[in-house]
Amino acid sequence: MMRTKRRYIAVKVANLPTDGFEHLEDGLYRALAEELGAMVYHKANPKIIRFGKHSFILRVGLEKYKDTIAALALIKRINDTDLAFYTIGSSGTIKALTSNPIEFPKEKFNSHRK
Amino acid sequence: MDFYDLAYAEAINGVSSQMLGFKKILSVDRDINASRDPAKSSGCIYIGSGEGIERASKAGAKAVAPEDYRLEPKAAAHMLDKGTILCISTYPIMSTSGIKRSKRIHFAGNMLDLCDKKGIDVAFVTIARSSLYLCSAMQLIALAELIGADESQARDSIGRVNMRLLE
Repeated sequence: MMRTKRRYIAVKVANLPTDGFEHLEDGLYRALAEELGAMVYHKANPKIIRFGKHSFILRVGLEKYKDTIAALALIKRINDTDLAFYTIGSSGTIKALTSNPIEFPKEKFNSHRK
Repeated sequence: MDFYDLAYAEAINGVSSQMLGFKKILSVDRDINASRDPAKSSGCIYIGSGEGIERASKAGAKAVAPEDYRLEPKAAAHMLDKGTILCISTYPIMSTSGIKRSKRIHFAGNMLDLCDKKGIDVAFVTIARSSLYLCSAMQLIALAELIGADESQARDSIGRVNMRLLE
């Protein structure tokens, strides 16, 4: 089976609630599924792999990364919270993204879900 | 290539244009005058719909931004004569959802096709009224591609054509 090619997107969250973004993670996946549709969502297979203070890195399938960037622009509300996602960079490697001036934690994010 | 966007002043306040990938986010009424009256839109950007688009291009508007994404061929002919730029704002697409949003994307695509056939310059801009409706240069390119532009056209539009709004 061929290895899945992936793309990493750096996203900044605007109008972030004071309790952070981590509890809105599931809401983001739902909103992305709604915008992309089930077929494209399956191919994009988005997953947040790292959280920063006001930003995160989203891993998506290479084939559908542009659709994901457009979908992120269209999401304006998650769980009754008004917010916006600005895509500030994309790369084939995480290292290239984290070397940007935007602050990302070096350690891998441990998901709060069991 | 440097990218430019256009938005209302209240949307830009406190937002870094460099962070979003733009050289500058132009402000409506500060960098470029906007008019909702077609007769008074000479040298301005006309934001409106319907017959106003044709009247504004006749009056010598620098750019027109149809809010309903409808452009009559007659109006397009006037725009070509006068060198008027067509602004496709992403705000009406971003501020709706579901079927309504799909229809707006479809109408915007039709308008883009007409402009491509006639040879009218198209500018992709947000014309955001709040910072929530701004987007990064990368997102604006992706939205332009969603509407039907190819990547090189989208980049040219957000760079060269949007800079023409400033001139």
